[in-house]
Amino acid sequence: MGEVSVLLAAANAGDRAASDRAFELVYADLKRLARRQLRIASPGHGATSLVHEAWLKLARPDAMNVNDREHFFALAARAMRQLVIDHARNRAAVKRGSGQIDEDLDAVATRVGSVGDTDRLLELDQALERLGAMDPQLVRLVEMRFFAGLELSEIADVSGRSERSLKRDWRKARAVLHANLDGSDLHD
Amino acid sequence: MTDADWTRVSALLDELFDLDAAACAARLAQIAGDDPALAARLQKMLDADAVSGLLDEGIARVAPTVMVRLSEPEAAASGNPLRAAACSGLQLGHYRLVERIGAGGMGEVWRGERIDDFEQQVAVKLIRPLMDSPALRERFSRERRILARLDHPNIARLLDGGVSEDGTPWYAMEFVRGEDIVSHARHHDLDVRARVELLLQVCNATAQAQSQLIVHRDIKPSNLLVDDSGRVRVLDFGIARLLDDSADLQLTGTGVRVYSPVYAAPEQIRGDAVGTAADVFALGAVLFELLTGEPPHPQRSATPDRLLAGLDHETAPRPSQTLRERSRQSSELRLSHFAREVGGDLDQIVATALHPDAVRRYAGAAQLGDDLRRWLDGHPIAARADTAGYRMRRFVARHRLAVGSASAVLLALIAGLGLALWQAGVARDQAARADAETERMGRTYRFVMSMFNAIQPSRGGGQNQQQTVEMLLRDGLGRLDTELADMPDVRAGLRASWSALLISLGHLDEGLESLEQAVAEYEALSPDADGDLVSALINVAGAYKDAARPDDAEAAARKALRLLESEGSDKVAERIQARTVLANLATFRFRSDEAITLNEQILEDRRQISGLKPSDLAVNYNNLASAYLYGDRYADAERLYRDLDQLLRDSPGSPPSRRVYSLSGIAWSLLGQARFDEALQVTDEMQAIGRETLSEKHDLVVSAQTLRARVAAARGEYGLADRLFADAIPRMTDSTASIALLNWGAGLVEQGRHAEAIERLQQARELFASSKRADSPPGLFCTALLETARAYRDPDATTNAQAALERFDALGLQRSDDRVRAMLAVAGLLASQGRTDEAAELGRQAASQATALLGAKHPLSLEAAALADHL
Repeated sequence: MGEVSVLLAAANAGDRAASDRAFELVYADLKRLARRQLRIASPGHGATSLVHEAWLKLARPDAMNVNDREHFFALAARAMRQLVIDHARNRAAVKRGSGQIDEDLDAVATRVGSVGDTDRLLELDQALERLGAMDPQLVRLVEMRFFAGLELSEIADVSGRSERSLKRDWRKARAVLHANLDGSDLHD
Repeated sequence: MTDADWTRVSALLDELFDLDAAACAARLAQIAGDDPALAARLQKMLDADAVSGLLDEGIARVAPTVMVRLSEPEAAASGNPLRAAACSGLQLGHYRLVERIGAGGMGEVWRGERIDDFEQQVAVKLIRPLMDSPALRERFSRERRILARLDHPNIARLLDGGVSEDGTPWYAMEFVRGEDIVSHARHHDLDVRARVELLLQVCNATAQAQSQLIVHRDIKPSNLLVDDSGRVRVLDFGIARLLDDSADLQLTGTGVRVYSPVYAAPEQIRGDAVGTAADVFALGAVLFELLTGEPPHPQRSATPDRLLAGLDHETAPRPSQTLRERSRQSSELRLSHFAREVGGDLDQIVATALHPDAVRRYAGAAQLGDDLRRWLDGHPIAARADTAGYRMRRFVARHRLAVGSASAVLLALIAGLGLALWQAGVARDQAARADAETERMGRTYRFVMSMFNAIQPSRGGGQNQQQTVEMLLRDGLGRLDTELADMPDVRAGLRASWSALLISLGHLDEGLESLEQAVAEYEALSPDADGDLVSALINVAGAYKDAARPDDAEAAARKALRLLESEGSDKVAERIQARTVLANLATFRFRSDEAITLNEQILEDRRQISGLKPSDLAVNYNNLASAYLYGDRYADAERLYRDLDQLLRDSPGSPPSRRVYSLSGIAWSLLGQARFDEALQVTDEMQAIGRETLSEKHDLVVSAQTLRARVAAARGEYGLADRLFADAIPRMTDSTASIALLNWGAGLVEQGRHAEAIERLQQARELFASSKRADSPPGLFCTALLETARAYRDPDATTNAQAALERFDALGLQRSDDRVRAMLAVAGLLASQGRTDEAAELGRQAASQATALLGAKHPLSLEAAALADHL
């Protein structure tokens, strides 16, 4: 059985440390996979493929049941968010003249000509943090859809929820987050 | 915003989304009357809803720095066509190209002739160069020399090869005139024997190559040509390996793998190590196609993601089944004739060759060939040797096997599935979050990650970038003794954390060894470091469990518990963790009494944690209830599941779908108490909720259907039960399908439908075996029942059914309701063979065991007593 499967099974039995370890494992490997040039279908699907790749590599799907799969994708999506946000932070730090630039990843960015929406991403991360305190389910959905690039139908598939209710939640999350990217509303 | 505000905002948004513009404005105005700030906030959200923003852009646009990098190599990999178009007359080595006879993903095939001997026809393959380097050229020519030594009448000889001036690798092979093996069999209308003999030639060739450690890796009909004389030639031996290597040399990780999805073994598709068993799988696949006209897994997708995802659900198919299905749809007499001939041993041979788990297949082509020869000669085959006692006496009597095996369903279904839905609740659990050890590990991890970030791999350092975390950890662990010799507590702490990380990175053995050392270090510091020692023991217990060392795991967890007790223990979280490990172990080892006690204690502890809402306990209710169910304490299980159901109904915001878990638990409890009509009501409600709230293919909805099928069978509605089972099982995972098949088979035995029962039970047993649960109580019950059904069917042989019973004892699983069920089945069989005394004795034993285990009023006890009396 894959290490992640074991950890998820333990996490499902209430072992919090196992859940954290699984997250660390997935994060580290996403990062490593990112460094190691993966086969990826098209730029738009980069994140999804990455998550699928990590899933195949780490989770050994043969050894995992359906619920662990849901858990895994949630975990991978969270790790994806972390990866993107960490990177954005790194960039922000570089812009301010502090911090160590991640050469590997940045060499490409210059070539592409866009540095992305670093600040908006960091704001989004904070808004998500605040929303998470009230409605973690919405945050998981945003992580899976936006950061991991999963389709609603795929999310429905792994979570067992109907696509209709996911769509409704997405609309809600989107409205709330967009309205609050400046952080004015979700403060306690 | 407070939680209460959010609940309100969330509900109002739901409401407003459904209104048209006018009604929406009116409703907002109404809200503004009571709470202008809230209305303004909602207005802002509705405005945001109407325009696009960050979240619509896609992560690739928003964070190109990360994403573009990830997607880059695709472009690099897709280039590189054949550098110069090969053309007629081109000279390669001693050969000249004459005409192109084929082209494919990896290159082109030409008919060629030897320059100094026009008579000698050859096939020349030109390979799309993945990379040109001296290393590759060297590798290529070395492999070619090895392949050139392959000399077998059924292998197309490799004559020459090399790398052309423009860097295109090529090789020349004996030119075979013929057609592929499947078409040949069809055109010549060969019978089953002749088809098997054709494949035997392929087996012989492959076996000889394998004896020289050469694996083909791409056996498929188009690589198996039959000439006019009926001689088979295997093409492209070892070429797949050659191509793989050239791809590996590129080190791009683009994952070029040469195989044909339809015939490739699962491990090959997964990218795992490939050995002789992969060829066995492909040989099995070709044999399957020779017998049925179609490959065994025609549904396999061409896209890698789906291909991989689909592997989960594959089982070894049986040719006779495919033939029978097709003969039902067509009037072709030949199909049903084939089905009869193929059914039985040949089915078994193909299924063994096609087993999803490589170690369960024939070890190599030679072993497969041996069994095919035995089949041709009419001898017993090896694939079936373990069930040699299956020929026995015919029989008529039947009896009911009471409630069937519920136990493992709970493991697979309720215990596992239920919990994930409650993850959200667990995540909110403040007590667990405050776990100090987790925090400490997190800090250490961040520390390590920061080290990792600081050290940029040197430019031009080649492919060393992949090492990283493991490297640092190993390095750090190695330096601990010298650099932190004076700080034993810090040293132990870092060692414990880093070993845990190493384990989480997949280096279980290495990390475990070092974790053991950390435990020893803490022990030397005792009693000052007992708090840390407890955490380390809990970690090491988890690692032992993962390393399949349950005794060590148990010892470590127990020691942690003892320390917690002697401390006076306010550390509830640790106590829960340690007991969770023990409870898992107890469940795993079928010690249900112990699992129950531990889960009761865990639930009690969780109740003491302040700040937990009742719904946070749902997961523990579920665990304990399933432990009850698992221990056949159906009344207790029913009570607790009903409490859980009430709790879920009372929790606002709890999705209705969760009730499927509690309801299915109630239904199993009722089934266990033989209260079939009530069970029917509960399953109806459960299915209604499941269909409403979950997708049709959700595991739980499918499992609910098999539960309904069990109820139907228990109520004598056999036709309905058959339909429900048949519809649900193909959609289930292996672990749940195995139990469903077992229950179905048990029902069929009760009805005296032994042939069908054997088929179902065989499938169940394969699934038990492939998931390494053959020696679990339901797995053993399955074996016993299968042997019983075979004995009913074939009266001439001696039975293995009693041997299956003894297996329970050998494994220390006497205290199992499944054993009682198995005893009843065997007793019925003995009675039918006229061995009344033995049957009565076994019936009495079953009755007394059932009474001791489950109480005298349990349906299984009553059943056993009735049987004993009757005899």
